[in-house]
Amino acid sequence: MYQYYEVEHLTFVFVTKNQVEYSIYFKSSPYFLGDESLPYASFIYEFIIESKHLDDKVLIPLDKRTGETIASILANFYLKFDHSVTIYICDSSDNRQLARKLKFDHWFIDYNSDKSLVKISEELIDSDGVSYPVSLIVKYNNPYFLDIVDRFRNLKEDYTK
Amino acid sequence: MKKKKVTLADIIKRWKHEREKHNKDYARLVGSAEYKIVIENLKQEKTTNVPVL
Repeated sequence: MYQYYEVEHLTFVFVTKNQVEYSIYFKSSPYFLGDESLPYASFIYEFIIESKHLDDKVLIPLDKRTGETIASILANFYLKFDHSVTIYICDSSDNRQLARKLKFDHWFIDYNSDKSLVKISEELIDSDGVSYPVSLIVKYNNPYFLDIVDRFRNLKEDYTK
Repeated sequence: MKKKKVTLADIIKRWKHEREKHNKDYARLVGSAEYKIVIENLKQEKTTNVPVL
């Protein structure tokens, strides 16, 4: 695992051996399940992974420690904020959303060894037909677990009407 | 008064707006002096890990 540092509130940075600079954000997103008055709305965060390296045209080499570090940041976040709900939306601006989803899924499977976190995935499609793979992560012991999962699943119902 | 139903389109529109704000925040962060110092320290492994609770 790489050393990381909380450079701003809920923003963590680390650097890999390939000099890739990662910034990991937990961005407050109380709107995401459609009702900001929900008792858990203020615990909804978007999980954002940003990376910066010298040559953006070159794909970032595979590096096991990157996944370990991101998993550790996520695990520590849930140690501090047990009842949080995190949403990971794969950026589709460069059409690499499925590659991001696969990588994230692998990290999650590899490092959620104690199975304390649950990940539920959906594919949301906007009115322009652009697809966004979206994952919701929540702890099993969240008191609103069923309602959270139900609301997340129902997001998709909107465009199947 | 009955609440207006929030649709998926509303949520995605809001998310895109929030993402634009985030992109500006991210550009500000990576351009900041503090970020550059932290990154240099991390490269040299001088920065202490965030304590685990």
